[in-house]
Amino acid sequence: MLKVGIIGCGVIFDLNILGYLNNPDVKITCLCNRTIEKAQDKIKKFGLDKDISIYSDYKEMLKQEDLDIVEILLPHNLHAEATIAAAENSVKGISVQKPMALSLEEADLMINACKQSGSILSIYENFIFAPHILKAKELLDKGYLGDLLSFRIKTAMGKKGGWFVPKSSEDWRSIPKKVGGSKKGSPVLFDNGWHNFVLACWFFNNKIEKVFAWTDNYQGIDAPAYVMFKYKQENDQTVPQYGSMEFCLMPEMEIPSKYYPTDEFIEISGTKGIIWINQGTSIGNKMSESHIFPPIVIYKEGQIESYSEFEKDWKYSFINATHHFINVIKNNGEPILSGTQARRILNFNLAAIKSAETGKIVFL
Amino acid sequence: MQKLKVGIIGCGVIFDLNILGYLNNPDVQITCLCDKRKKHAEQKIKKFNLNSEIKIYSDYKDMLDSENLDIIEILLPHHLHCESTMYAAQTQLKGISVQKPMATTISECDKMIKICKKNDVKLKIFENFTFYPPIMLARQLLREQIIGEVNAVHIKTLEASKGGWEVPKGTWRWRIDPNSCGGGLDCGSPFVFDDGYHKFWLALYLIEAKIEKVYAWIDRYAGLDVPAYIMWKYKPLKEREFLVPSYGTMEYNYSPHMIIPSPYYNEDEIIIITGSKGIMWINQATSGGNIMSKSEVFPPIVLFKDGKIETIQNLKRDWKYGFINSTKHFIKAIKEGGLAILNGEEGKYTTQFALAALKSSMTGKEICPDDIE
Repeated sequence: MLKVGIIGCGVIFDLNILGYLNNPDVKITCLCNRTIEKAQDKIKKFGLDKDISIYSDYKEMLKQEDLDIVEILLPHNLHAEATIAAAENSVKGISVQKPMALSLEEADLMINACKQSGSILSIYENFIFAPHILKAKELLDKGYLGDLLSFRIKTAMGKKGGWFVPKSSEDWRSIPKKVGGSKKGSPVLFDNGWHNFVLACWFFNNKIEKVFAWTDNYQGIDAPAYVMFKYKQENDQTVPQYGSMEFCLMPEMEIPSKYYPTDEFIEISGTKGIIWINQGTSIGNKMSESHIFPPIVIYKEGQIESYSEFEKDWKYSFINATHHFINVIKNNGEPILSGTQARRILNFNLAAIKSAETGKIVFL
Repeated sequence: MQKLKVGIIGCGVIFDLNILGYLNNPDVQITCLCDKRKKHAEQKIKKFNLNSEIKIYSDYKDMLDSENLDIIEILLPHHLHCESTMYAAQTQLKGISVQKPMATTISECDKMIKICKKNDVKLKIFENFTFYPPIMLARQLLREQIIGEVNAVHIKTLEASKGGWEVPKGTWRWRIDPNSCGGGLDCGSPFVFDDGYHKFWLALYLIEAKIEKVYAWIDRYAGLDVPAYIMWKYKPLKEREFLVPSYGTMEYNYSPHMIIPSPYYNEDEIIIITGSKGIMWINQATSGGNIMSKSEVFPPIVLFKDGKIETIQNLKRDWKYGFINSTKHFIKAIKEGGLAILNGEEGKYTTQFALAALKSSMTGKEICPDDIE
């Protein structure tokens, strides 16, 4: 059984832990949080083994425990140092919450440390494991819509309807040095936005050539934000591929959700048709019940098709992502996202932020 | 009251939609048609069962000089809009309806506005999306703040290669010629400047704000001005300055192996509007009423607000109603007074907006439409 330690017992812990529960391959042996009470609360909340050790210093935990897997759920500025510490303690599997790190330099240090220790580094990404998104990817990969032409994602951020986020989770996100991104910090484009940058690359199996972005500043956050980008084009005979992202603010909007009052809408065009992927974070809510927004809608050959039979709860994307990671560690495989893959996403994400800061196109 | 006498210049593809509002209308009477090839005009007379006494001209100047018209409908390639409007304005007409886009340059727009004002002629830039029933209702609902203060509009145009009507080569040819289409791109601009004019206008009409800056990428594929990605920021309105800053985006994609079943062009639109309290989807326009409309997933208007989904069904979805309503609105404006939609100033600003996007794509810079002269 693989021994698992989790560093950071904040809001997202409640989703990241799920894939480790009731799983015969793993056993959570320790938790770490600066304020120990929070770790104790989680033990109660999830009915975890009372023998689990609790630490307030992750370095101490890494030293004392002989872990196979560590799950790092810390503010972004601590991702690199925690990863490096885990690698130095020869942890076999290191899962780090997105975004990977604050800079490419940090990402390189993480990749190198893991290479040296033989650790498998995975940057945790849940969206690509949501059941309906996996199905969409499967259809697109087998050419269901021909060659892909365009990717669009709209992130709609409501104000109420979701879970309670304590002030301590909000606070560090407003500190530029902790959240990362632009000089003023990028809680939207860099934190939540990361998922969208991953999806853009993952669906198209392609790299990015150039990016342009605008970010505004509404009540201290980097939104509304608009990003457009072009994928690498082999030669001028191939179809040019583009994408765009929109981060919208709805300060009086209720989005019923078990999680954040946010939702996502993806639209991908191919040479033969279009697919709409409805909802992400809040899938399973009232919107899902309406029949107007099946998780997948396809328009091709002059017909509309839809796919509705999915487990509609964002948590499944977390469970699947964690299961994937455990399998990778068991079988010495390659995770999605590996350190190298995630570095490319980081480069893309930071390029968009740089474009917004400079007002210029950034070529990758 | 005597019927208003109408002449139509240009008997191409779009004639079939622009004529509809003049048919079976007791206020007007079509008295003449003009096309460089008279045969085209004769075919239209047969097709629409028009009065066989309608006169046919091959030269619009001849027609304007000989006929005592009240209304002229100009359906010519873009580079002829200005000169034909100028000529018509001096023949004591009541109204000129000129097909969008207004003209190919801003100085042409200015000349058209000036001469119509001087001769007291009502100038309309013909645009049909404004009068498409789902869009008319959507605008009314937006003005009532059904989704709060609007802060984002997205207009996606889907272009397919088949499923719609047959567009003759000649109709297409002048649109891919930079001189007759306008817009400044080497490949002409059948999408961004020609079709795009509708969408640039909608972006202004739905939010009712002007544009601070626009940025665009317009690539080339299959010789066309696609894919195109355009984004803009609205000028903040004084009374809205404490609210979320407003933006818009437009996207053109061409899917070369896709079918969009349509009685008209094999094209369709999806408009998504975000407000402080909700989101509105306007599904379809050009191909409204087709198979997509029949699936329960794409009602004409969908609202997500107050934590739930509402739909508005039972709206007329055939694209032709936008044309019929637009023409009727113009006839009414001539009979009863009132501004045409679009009037000359609106038409000019929309042209500035479109040209700003095209200029941005050519220069790589953010452009303010006010700076397009």
